[in-house]
Amino acid sequence: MITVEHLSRRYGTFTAVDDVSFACRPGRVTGFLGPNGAGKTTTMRILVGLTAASTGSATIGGHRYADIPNPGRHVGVLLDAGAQHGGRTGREILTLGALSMGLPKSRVEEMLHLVSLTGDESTRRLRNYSLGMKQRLGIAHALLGDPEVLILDEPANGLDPAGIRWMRGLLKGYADRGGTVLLSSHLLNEVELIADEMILIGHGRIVAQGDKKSLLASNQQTKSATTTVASLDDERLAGALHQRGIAVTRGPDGITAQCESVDVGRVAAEHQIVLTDLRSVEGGLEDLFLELTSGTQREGSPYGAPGGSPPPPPPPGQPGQYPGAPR
Amino acid sequence: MSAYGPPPPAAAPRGLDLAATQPTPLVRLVQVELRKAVDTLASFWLVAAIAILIVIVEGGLLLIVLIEGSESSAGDYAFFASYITAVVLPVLAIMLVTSEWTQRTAMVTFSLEPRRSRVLLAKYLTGIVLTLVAVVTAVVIGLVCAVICQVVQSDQTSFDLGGAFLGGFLITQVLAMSLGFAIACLLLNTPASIVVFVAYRVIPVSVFAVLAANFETFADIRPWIDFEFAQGPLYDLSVSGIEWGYLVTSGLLWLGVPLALGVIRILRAEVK
Repeated sequence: MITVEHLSRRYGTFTAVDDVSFACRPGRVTGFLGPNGAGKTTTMRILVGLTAASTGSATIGGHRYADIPNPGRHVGVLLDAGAQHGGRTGREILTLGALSMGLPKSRVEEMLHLVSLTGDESTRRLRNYSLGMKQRLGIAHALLGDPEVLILDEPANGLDPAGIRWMRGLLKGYADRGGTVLLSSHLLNEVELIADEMILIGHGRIVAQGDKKSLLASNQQTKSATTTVASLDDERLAGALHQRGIAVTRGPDGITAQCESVDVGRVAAEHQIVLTDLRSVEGGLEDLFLELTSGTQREGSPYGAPGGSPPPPPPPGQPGQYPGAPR
Repeated sequence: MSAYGPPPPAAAPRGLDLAATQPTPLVRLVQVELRKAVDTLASFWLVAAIAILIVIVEGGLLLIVLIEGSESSAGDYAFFASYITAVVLPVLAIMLVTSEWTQRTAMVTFSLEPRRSRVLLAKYLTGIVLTLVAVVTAVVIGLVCAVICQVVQSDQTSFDLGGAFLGGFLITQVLAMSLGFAIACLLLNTPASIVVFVAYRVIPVSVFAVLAANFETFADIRPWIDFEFAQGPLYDLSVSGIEWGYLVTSGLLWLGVPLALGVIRILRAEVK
């Protein structure tokens, strides 16, 4: 539904968005994840025509945003919950939106109810709102026109854990009814909770995309297995593992071995050493996120070459080395 | 596209069905802008201050006229009311534009109507509607005051509104409002726009007057480039012949150029 192709935005010599391509499907919540200043917001602003693209295209349902008549009825947008007049009440802000989109006033009440803003809260002026209340109002504003597509920049920012759970339910339900959702965040936990698919962006470039499972699976393939083990006789076990050519490090609580856990178990069985703890170390999404995005922040990165193909990711565990980079 | 993880899903075949959606009509955009012009605390107090000022001035005037038993007409009262609103109208026009940027609501406004020129047109039309409202209000106040005088001293009261004056007032007010609008588009900042607007109306006039007094050749050029001077005959709707030429050339220079630059700036601006 949302299609972004070879999108770039340059400010002088600084490239905020660098040859970004992705697609968001109906029925899915797509999380746009990256550290601050990675280009998430700029990409979303280009999507809704507030910022012009330097090159490339961004379309929603095959249309440029500017070509969609009464776009609030098709695309719900929340780019900055604070970008509303501080002297207006929440209800007035929604009323203006409804008036602009040609919706009945009853829609305002429905939306206030949906985001759990009470009658008292809705008549307060926005400058007296907490960040969480602003976000709820912003979501209500985005949903006013009953759009097919939602574009939300940092919507969970300022929400408490209960609020994040509420938003997850809301967006999941919305996607299940066939809606398309693109939301951004710099916090992995939020996106992990809410999104079905993820796009990881760092320094203007997409470094990985896919659903959580496949992202982790591809991470595991390239990463050498690591196992931590503790036994009644760590010294003998470390020696035995070393003899097999397995790299080991002794720690205060056990041994870290660069191999699958099954190999450690086999060696222990052969030498009749009693194991007290054995587990394989899995790199979580967080590690992946940090590895991928830190790789793009390194100076002298070969990814910066203009017009090049999307970046090959740095192999995890080998910081500072890239495939194809001059060594 | 990604070298990491599985390839992204192919672009969804389903698109947006826009056939049933009508573009937002301009009338609705004007309605929204009118509501936005008066629904904030700042605009409420601006209008309230004007209302209070008008009540004080007109009340005092009525009192003096009735006590002294002097002659008065509806047009006299309308003149004072319109004189007071004239100060505020350009400020309202300025705030129509600048508040979108200082309060950052432009992001929402241009998301709901990405054809920015239509938003600007709606804002300008809103300024004209507000000017009309001000003139009508002045007329009503003038008539009400005249009715009061009529009851007390019917001999000294006339209901003459001075039609030419009101027509001239309407036109010069629209021009002043347009000037405020143009400067606001160019600067996108409320205090700066108000300061520049006031300076714009005061400084060129005096500079031109001094220049014209000292250089004879400049006295010939002055009418062509002095917008305030050229608007003189507009106040009583007595513009004729060459005076139209003065109006057009000086208007282009002082109003047309900043308006064009301001509109271009907004159409191209990155809305933050």
